[in-house]
Amino acid sequence: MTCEKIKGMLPDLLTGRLDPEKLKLVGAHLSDCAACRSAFEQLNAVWQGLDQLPEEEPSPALRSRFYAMLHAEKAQTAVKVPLLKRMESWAAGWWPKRPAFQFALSVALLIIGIVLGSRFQQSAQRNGEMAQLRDEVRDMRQMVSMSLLKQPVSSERLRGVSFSTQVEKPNASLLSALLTTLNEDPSVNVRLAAVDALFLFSDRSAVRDALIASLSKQTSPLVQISLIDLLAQIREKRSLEALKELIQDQKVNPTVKQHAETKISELT
Amino acid sequence: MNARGSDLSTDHEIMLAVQEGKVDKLGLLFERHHKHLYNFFLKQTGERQTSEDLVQDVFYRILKYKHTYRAEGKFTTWMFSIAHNMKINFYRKRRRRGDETEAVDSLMDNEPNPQEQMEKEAEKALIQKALDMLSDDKREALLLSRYKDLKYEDISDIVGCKVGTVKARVHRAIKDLTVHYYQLTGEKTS
Repeated sequence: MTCEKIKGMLPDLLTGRLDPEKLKLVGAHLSDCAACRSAFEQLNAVWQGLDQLPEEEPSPALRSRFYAMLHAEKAQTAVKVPLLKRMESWAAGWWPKRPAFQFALSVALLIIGIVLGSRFQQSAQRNGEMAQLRDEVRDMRQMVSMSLLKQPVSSERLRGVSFSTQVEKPNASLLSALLTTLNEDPSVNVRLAAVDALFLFSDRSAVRDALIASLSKQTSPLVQISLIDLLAQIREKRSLEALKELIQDQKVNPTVKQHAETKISELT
Repeated sequence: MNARGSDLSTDHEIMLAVQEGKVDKLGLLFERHHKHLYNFFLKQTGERQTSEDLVQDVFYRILKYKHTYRAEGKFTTWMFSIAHNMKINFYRKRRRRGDETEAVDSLMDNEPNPQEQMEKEAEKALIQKALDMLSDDKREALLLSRYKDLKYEDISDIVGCKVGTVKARVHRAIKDLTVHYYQLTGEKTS
């Protein structure tokens, strides 16, 4: 293969998009041809140089703005209930004023109800079965994640945490298993994943209390920062005291303290 | 440090949950991707505040147009195509306003450099300068090509042109970047 063709493949070699066959060819050529090797080294030096460009952190304001937007979106979804009320009052307008007509309309509706009711009885039964099935699936997920959380291998426990996030309304024992994982798991990764999972269930006051209490139990700076972020995101003012204690603690990493200070100022 | 993004569900699974109405889960995607997106914009615009605004706009659009996410889609491709459009809109609006002012917060003047890091910083500055010298479309293609999970096909969906064009742009960008860099250092390229 000519040097020109090889040079044409160098960019794909750098970006990791060269198929194995061509990779072999280019590799063999580069080990023989000094000119192509030198061209590759120059491209590679600049390409690697791009790695040195700092991946900058955006300001904390970005995160606050995002969660404020998310919150507003949720609130907007909740406003849809009054719409139902409006529909009710619209329906009330159709209700006849005279008792005789009211009676006639009631009888008509009753007959329609009986006819439709008999037709839909079967489907209602099916709905009941579906609900039962959903409950069973949820129970099964809970059981699986509980048993995974107890495994000796950390990757299994990670799967357990991940599984728990798919349980829509976890019961108290799963939540308590997750909290135990957060506080006692030997692997930082598993503890971090537990923070994420518990974030999803942080609307429960018991979970919030446990998250605040966990702050003083954590030793890894990564987990501490993650917990601090979580408490700030859920705007949990009761965590202020725990955050202040963390700052006073001499064993705590200075970066963590600094982070806690920033979040305290955001919360107050 | 984006611990909140370490949930093991894939982006796609999370986005489908958001689509079903579990909008809270968008937080997971934000934690996973906001920094990449921010740097994607920052390296192109050179403006911190603008880049933060653009990231916010991208996530706003993801939320607003969640129903348009296709079940067979790939989340990062979709996210970057929104980002690509936001960036184009941003430049269009700015041109219309006739507001071509230079970035107020240049990327290089953020912190005083300690003496021992001077050389490294100078090299970084040259690379950033060489990157700035690329045309917009080449710079964007180059930045996108650095995401390993984006294939040329994905990038072509994002920027809306043919796969061959994307490939040519990335190749040209890498070569131009190298030429600019060595011109700046005063060395010759082979």
